[in-house]
Amino acid sequence: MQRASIGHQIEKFLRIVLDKVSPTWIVTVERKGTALLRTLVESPAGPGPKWVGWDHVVSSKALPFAPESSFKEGTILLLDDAIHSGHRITDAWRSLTELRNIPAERIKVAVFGVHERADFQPVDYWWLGELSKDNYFGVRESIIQFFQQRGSLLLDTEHVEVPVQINCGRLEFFDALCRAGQGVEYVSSGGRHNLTVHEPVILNRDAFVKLLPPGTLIDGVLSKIRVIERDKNWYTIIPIFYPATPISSQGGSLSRLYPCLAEIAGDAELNFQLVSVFASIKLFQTVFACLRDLINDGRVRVCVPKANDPNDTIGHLKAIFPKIDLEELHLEVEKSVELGRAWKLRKSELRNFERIEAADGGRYSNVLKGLYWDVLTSALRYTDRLAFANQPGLSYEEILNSTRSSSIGSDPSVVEALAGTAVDMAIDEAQLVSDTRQFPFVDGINRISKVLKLDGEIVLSDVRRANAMWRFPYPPVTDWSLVSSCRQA
Amino acid sequence: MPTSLEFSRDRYMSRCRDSCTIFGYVLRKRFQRLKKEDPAIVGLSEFDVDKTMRFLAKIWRQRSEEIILGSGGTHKPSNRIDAFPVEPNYNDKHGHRLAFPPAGETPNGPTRDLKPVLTVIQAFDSKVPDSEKILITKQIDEPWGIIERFVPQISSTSLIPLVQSGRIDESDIEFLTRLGDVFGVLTEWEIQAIGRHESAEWTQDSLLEEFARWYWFSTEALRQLKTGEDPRGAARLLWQCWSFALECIRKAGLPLVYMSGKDANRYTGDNELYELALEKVKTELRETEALDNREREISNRITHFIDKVQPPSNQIWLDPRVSVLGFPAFCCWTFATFLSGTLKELNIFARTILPSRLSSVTPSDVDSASENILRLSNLPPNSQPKIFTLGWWEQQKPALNQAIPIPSRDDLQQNPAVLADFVSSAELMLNSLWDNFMANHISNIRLQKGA
Repeated sequence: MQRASIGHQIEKFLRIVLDKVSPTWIVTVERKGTALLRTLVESPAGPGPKWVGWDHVVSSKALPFAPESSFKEGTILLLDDAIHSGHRITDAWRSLTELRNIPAERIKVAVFGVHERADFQPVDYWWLGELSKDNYFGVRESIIQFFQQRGSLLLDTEHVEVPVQINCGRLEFFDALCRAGQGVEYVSSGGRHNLTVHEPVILNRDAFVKLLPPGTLIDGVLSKIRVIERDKNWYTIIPIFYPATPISSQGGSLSRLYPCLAEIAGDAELNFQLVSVFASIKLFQTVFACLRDLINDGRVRVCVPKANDPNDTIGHLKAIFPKIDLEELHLEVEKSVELGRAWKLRKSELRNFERIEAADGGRYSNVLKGLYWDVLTSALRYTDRLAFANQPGLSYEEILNSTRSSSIGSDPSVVEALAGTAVDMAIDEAQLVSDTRQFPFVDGINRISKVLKLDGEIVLSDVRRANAMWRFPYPPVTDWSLVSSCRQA
Repeated sequence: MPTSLEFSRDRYMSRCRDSCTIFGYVLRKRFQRLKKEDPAIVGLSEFDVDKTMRFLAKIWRQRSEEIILGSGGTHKPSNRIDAFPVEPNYNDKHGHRLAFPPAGETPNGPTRDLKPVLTVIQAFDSKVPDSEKILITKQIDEPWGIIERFVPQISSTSLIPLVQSGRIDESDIEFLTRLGDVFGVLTEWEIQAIGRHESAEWTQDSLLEEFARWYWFSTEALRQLKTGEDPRGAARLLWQCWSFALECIRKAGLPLVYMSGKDANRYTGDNELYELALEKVKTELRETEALDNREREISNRITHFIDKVQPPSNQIWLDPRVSVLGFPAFCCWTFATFLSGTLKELNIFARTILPSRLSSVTPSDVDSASENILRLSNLPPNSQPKIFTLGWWEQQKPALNQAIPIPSRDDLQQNPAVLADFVSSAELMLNSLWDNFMANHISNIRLQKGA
């Protein structure tokens, strides 16, 4: 199935569903459902008159945090990209009907592709139904590729994004950002030129730490700036920062965060996510301090979205944080961007890193491919070892530890950056998905941290099959899509 | 020559475009290496870009020839860029440059209506957004005017479409990466020396062109001085006269006498630079401790290809075809220093580009040149050596030609009317040098070559 046509089909499907259902609320099943919706909302033609707005969209993960006043009236559209066995959509359905006591007749279910053996009923609207095993996998991969082409839309939806338009060379732009940290340039499977800057500099670090809940750790955690190509000359900047927060963090310990975050504090997991949003927005200062000269020369144009803009790239956070004040959040992002633009970086704040090129033929391309494999097999081993304990996944530090030994001889900082990129690619290609987990740290404090795991049964069986076929050290095939094609083997 | 390396019109435009991308990649690697050593570097000059591409084209062709010959006849024509579709010896006012034949050519082969590769790259770049350009241009304000520098923007990610279409493969990228990095150990002067010399015949051709340009600018400068037109125009011509004379003496591989000012150490004869450049790249290629086996193998192959395409310097500069042009080069350099060096001190040129552009020429240099020009004009015709050295000149030291009066610099400064006399004397000297030591000589060479 061609990627261009899958995009048209998705858009058509969503427009028809919105038109027929006229929902007052939309519940998206985890990240793919939200990504599906974003393709419509951010399309050139716009979402159309039946679009409910991001403040009436809730991700299935965020259902427990939606205000009591949500879902009171009208029809709720439950949306997913595809159903295989249907576990996730079933969980979302139960959250609505059993926890929220919403009558089933008020819920309409729309799924783009349905496997012939999917158990879940009822599916009110579908585009491709009764899909055989092969066709289902084909549709799934086409959708993932489509998301990649549109610019890594499968990134977890709790990230704030700021688009920029560049009127300079791509490498000028990337090199400016690499002043913040080690950058890895690569091409996604959708053909997009992306950059990830690992462990970027935090400006005014001591003051920043004081704003976080006491006992929060910012070293050794996932911290990066992703720069995703969305269109010619258009990039979106997505800082991702997950400080490890103590599980004992109460709402009051978030009082020094932005008011729009502090006021919706709740349990430990929610607080962890809110601290992450705060920390990520802080990284915009670093980004725009690095881009300051290019911006002042008019060679980079920053487009901080306003609330309710047609191309709002922040509003989708409402799906994850239903109670958040989006207008305030937009303002905080804008402030952080402006602080960065006004900041003149001192030499002591800069790092002298080269931009690593991870394309085929480069000296690191095979290292990256090997690390991609390492990351997936680490996640598989973890799953097999601890499946009985129902543990959510591997921490970023655990993943890095598992890759260090297999890249002996290479510069450790380069390997770490490449491992981080391997994780990014695996997330973009729906091989890995993130979750949270509590860890005991050496200081005796239990903290919540981000973890990664294989995304679903299909990926799990693919990786297990490939692992069985190619033992050690790396698979001889370097094209991961060939692994998927081995389902027939 | 293997069949697939012959010039072909097949899918010509796309091969040009992809060739430009490959050039851009190697330029980028060079630039990155240079920047590592000197973070202040802003970009590459036009000459640097051109000569780097020439050097690359020579090595790439040699490599492809050996691959094809080594295939034992099994090599099939494909989408691959075995040889860049370029003419390496396009000669315009800037000297020999790498050029593409124009796209609308007849199938009978390239004509002389060539387009420099750099110009073509800029033409391609004008049609794409900045983020997709091969070269970004930066304008830099220097005391002597605004200069352009180019910053290559091609990374390995940009080569992916070329790999997918079969133009190059991963082993080519590894080769180009190492090659570009090695190019980065050379200064701009060194890469120019390597890029523009590869045989005695071509160096001879290049020198003949430079002599012609020097002569044209000298006569034009004198003409304009006689008419008393805007000194800025005359200043530009005088600078060009000196600049082309500098090219003559550099390319002839002579020591750069008459240059002792603050910028003098920037200039060295091409033979010295050429030898130094070869030494540096080969030393760099031998430094393989930090490399893996594959990179070591590539380094060895590059050394082999360089040995094939770049002969030792004495095969160029001691070849009679080149060495015989040493004396004419000395003549035009002496004249240019005398003429432009004397006039740059005058008040009428104080606000022109001349003083800054000739800042490396001191009054004592001008005095030496003035004395030597009078001696040269007294040297009998046909007495020039087959191999010119300063030692030969010191031995010869003809008497000063008292028949040509030259106003002193003080006279020129104090009495502007004396300028006309100076110009007349200079014209006499120019014609004497040209007629006695250059014109017949050059035309004989052209006759021999059948030009």
